[in-house]
Amino acid sequence: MARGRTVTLGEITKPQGLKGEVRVNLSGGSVDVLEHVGRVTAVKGNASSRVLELESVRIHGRTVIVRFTGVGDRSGAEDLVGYELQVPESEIPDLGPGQYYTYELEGLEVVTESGDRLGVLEEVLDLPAHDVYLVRDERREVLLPATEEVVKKIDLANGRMVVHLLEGLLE
Amino acid sequence: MPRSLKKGPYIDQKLLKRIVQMNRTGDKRVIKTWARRSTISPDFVGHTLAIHNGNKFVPVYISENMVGHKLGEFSPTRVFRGHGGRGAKAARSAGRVGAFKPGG
Repeated sequence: MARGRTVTLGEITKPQGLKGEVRVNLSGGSVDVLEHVGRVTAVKGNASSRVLELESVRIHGRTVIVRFTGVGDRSGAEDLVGYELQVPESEIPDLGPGQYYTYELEGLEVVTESGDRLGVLEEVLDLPAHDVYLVRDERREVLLPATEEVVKKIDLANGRMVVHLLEGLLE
Repeated sequence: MPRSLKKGPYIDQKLLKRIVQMNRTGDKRVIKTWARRSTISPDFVGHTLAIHNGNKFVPVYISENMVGHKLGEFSPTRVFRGHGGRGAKAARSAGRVGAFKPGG
């Protein structure tokens, strides 16, 4: 799959403290990716965008707190609220073999080993046991466990996922 | 108060019977169940159960470290999608970043 897309890592939700830090809702993303990229494009709707350099990223409880270079007070931080943090896909670190980012999987066409089309992978559900893929077509919705037993092949280049349908999975 | 040790774990007998039968024949199929209160016994390991969450049957692959837990723990009945319209919508869009781990 071409790595030319823009990926949204999260959104700035509110200022934190008086020294220009902001709280970021990572939308299920990862702090590692944010630290790795170092520089993000902050976009608010279609209206405005600005490039921000990350100075520090820290986790406080369940909150991610970020400081950007050049933002040193609370009013500067307040101006950033509502911006989405985006990066080009090419800047996101590659994962090891057999691992994929959620955004890469969403939108794949899911077919069975015999070639029957099940639908499009619409959402990756993060459940306690393992991820579950929500696959939908015009007629039905199917939940598939993200296990080696079921997921046989992920072909990002052709936008396809081949799955083995266990007996009883579609009932 | 915890369940008395004298009684042993509660395991849905209909479900256990079907799984023991499958283990005997070497058959593998997804079993639908509503028995969320049933404890996971070692016999369940390696099977995929479709556990009802009040709305859908969620497929759950049972692994060794789930033994002793209840089936319902792995099929949440509520999904928190965040507060507010726009942010919640964004979380579901292409921007989400996470890792897929094959094998669960």
